[in-house]
Amino acid sequence: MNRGLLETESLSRTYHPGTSSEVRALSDVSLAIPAGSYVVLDGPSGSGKTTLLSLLGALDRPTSGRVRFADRNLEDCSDVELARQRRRMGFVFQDFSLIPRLPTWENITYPQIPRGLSAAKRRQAADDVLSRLGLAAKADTPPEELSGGEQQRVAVARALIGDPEVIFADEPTSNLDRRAAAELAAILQEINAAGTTLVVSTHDTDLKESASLVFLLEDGRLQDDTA
Amino acid sequence: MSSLLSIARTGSAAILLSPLRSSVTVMAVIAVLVPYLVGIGLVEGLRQESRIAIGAGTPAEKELLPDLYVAANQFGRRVPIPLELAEPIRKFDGVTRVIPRIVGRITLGKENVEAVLVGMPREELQRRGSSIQRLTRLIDGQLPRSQHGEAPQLVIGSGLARKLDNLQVGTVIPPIFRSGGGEKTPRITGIFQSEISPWQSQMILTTFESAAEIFDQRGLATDLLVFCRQGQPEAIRSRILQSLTGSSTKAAASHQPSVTSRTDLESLLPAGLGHREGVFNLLFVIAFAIGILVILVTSGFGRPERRREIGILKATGWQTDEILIRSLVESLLLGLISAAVAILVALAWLKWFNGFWIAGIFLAGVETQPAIAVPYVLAAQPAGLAVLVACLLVTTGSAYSTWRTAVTPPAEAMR
Repeated sequence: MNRGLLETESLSRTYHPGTSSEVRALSDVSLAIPAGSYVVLDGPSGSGKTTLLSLLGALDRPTSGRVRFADRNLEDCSDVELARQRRRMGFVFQDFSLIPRLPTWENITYPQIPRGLSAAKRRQAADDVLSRLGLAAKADTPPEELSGGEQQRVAVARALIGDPEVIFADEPTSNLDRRAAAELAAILQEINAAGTTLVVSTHDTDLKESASLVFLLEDGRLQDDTA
Repeated sequence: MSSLLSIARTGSAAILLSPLRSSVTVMAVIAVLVPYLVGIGLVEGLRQESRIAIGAGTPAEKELLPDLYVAANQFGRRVPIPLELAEPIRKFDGVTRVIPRIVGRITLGKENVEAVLVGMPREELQRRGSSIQRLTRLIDGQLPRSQHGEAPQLVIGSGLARKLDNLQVGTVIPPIFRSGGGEKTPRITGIFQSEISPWQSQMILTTFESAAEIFDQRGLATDLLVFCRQGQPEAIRSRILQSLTGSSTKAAASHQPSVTSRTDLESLLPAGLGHREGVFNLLFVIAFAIGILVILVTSGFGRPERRREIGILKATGWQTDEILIRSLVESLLLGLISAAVAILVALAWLKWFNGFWIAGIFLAGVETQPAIAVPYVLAAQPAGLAVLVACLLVTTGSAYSTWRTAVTPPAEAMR
């Protein structure tokens, strides 16, 4: 197996520290995610899966501990540097997190705007990804006119568009019906087969079955029976 | 550079992405700007009207208006001037004409409506090319011709006619005076059209002879209008002051002359209007401060959506400065749109709603719904200032909240 693309060392995250509403969401988590792997973060609700995913994906900063992505320690990065690191990643959120009223193709390519890509090139890239995901006919449709399954596929398309090294997906099938969930599971497997590292937090057994590595979290701690 | 342009374009598109927030912001800015623009437009219009009224306009207008206004002082107060003092002034070298005038305040009708009555000599009213003669084009009816002893003929302002139960040309109105010559019943011979200046709206014009009877002041004028040859007014002014002050006549001995030149009036004009403009500007500064608060509150419309949107942008690789540029472009465009709409609304308010409500602040005696066509000039300077203010308002109102969200970790902004 390759050297860890993502590694954590004694990672902890406490919300509202020092107040009466203090929540210790993650405690002392150390793990390594090899490049090209399909990793599932498993555990009950409130076990810290989303928190861990946010820290791995540079969406949040840890209270203590370290996260290393490829050759960079994320806690040493400035705000600008963190944004640059996020351009090497893709995200699929539980609630899709698409921008309302913005046509699908623009939603997908919005992350590429600061990179100076022309609208024509962005449109071409969006059409290519949407065709791969069976959504070519929906390029000009705004997200609110799409079904849940379609919206989640658009979210996957947005994660894919920048050709990322790793894709993080937070409970990607929890808002979908069985058929849409199975379709998405197949798409994620295909993406991983093409060489992209996948880190997915889920309870979905189909997704877990496809995983090469499963980390089990409980009360913010990594359990020993990790497969 | 191309990425900067692309980001700027997303700023303009963002206006449509949050239609509720955009329209509430535009409306809040319009609510602040429109009264300001209407007020400033009225001040400028009044200034222009006043300048024309005192002959500070074109050379042709200057020629029609007097160079000097001669009145009298007694005990340090302005009093009517005896008509016999007009004769020596007429003889001064460089004086072309001297016209006595009566200007006084009267009340009319059961409601005691206040009006300004102006009496001019009959010859002057009939004289071809005189400033009064030129008014005939703006009068429905004809100029007064009443002589001493006859029933007074009056031309009244349109606003006054409306207030007095819609008086028409030919109407005979109840006696408004009882002088030594007995009771007289005045007749309306003309009405000033509503499109002319506001000064005429509350005015009554009659002959000098009728005015003297109405006020029961024979042999007196409020002032003498002195017309001079070009370049002579200052010399004639000195001469009037010297000769009348040192005169041995009984009238001159008891009345100290007071001479006001047109230049004096021109210099007095900005002071009067400037005072009202100053008060209005002060009110506007307060409105501006409130405006920022309003924008801060209204920018709360769609704030969770906006916060989430910024979180998504950050999560997908946008940097803080790129988000701020996007927001700045959006704010500036919203400011421009708001200012443009505010200018159009202000123009409509002045043109079609006749300065409704705001005109009352600048014109004495004008009600909420002005009965006259109020003068206005919406110049480039206040319009430019409106654009600047609008951009400042919107940018100030949204910059802080955008920056705060943009520096928040995306996970928290999206929560």
